[in-house]
Amino acid sequence: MKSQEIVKMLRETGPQTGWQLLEQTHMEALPLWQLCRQTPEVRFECIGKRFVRLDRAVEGYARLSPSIRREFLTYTILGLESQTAAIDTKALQLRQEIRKISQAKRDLAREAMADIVESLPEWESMRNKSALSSPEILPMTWLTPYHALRSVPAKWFEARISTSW
Amino acid sequence: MIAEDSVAKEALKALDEAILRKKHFLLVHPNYQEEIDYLVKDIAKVRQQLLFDSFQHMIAGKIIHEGELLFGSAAVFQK
Repeated sequence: MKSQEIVKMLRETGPQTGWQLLEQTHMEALPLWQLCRQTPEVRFECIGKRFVRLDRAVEGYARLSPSIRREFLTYTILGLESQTAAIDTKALQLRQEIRKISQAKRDLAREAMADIVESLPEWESMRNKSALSSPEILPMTWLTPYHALRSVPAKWFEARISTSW
Repeated sequence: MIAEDSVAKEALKALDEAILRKKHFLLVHPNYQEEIDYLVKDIAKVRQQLLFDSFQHMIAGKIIHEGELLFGSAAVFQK
């Protein structure tokens, strides 16, 4: 596929996430990312932030998250310079969706902990002696390296194996 | 889940088992299919981990530092 085909596709469909573009082009992620980066007409709108993760496999233990691949597929809106308003709208929708998923996960985790404590009479009385702390539950904003909840089916967030903490 | 050191080990064990049951339920139930990652520990263990003297302790320290209060005692959380 060539740059102009990407431009034509975006012109016809409007702004897309990396995933959506991937599905349409049937390309591999990194070649598609490279092609888009090399196409001056394509604008990237990345939402969210990058975070440092500790990784034993990396010299110095530190690496940034999300990866280029995941950031491109999940957290990037691609469009043309002429589609600025539509890109902004789609980015806002994506941010809202991520926030909504994060909140749902937090609520579920909180409810689950409340149910558990209620099911244990000895713990009900000790409720104030403990703090159930959760790493932020944000696949949505990739704010933290660890999530108390992982959404199994959601393609937003790749399943990640947590090391013991 | 971090508990004060005064909490009996048996109570922590019961809590751990209850969370594990809930984890299984949330993972397999078609309405949820969510996985809770969790560990139960006391503050003594947290103190050890905050020495930041091994890779595992670094991971633990980072998560504890970034964690937000989800449920339970704000006072213990502030410690």
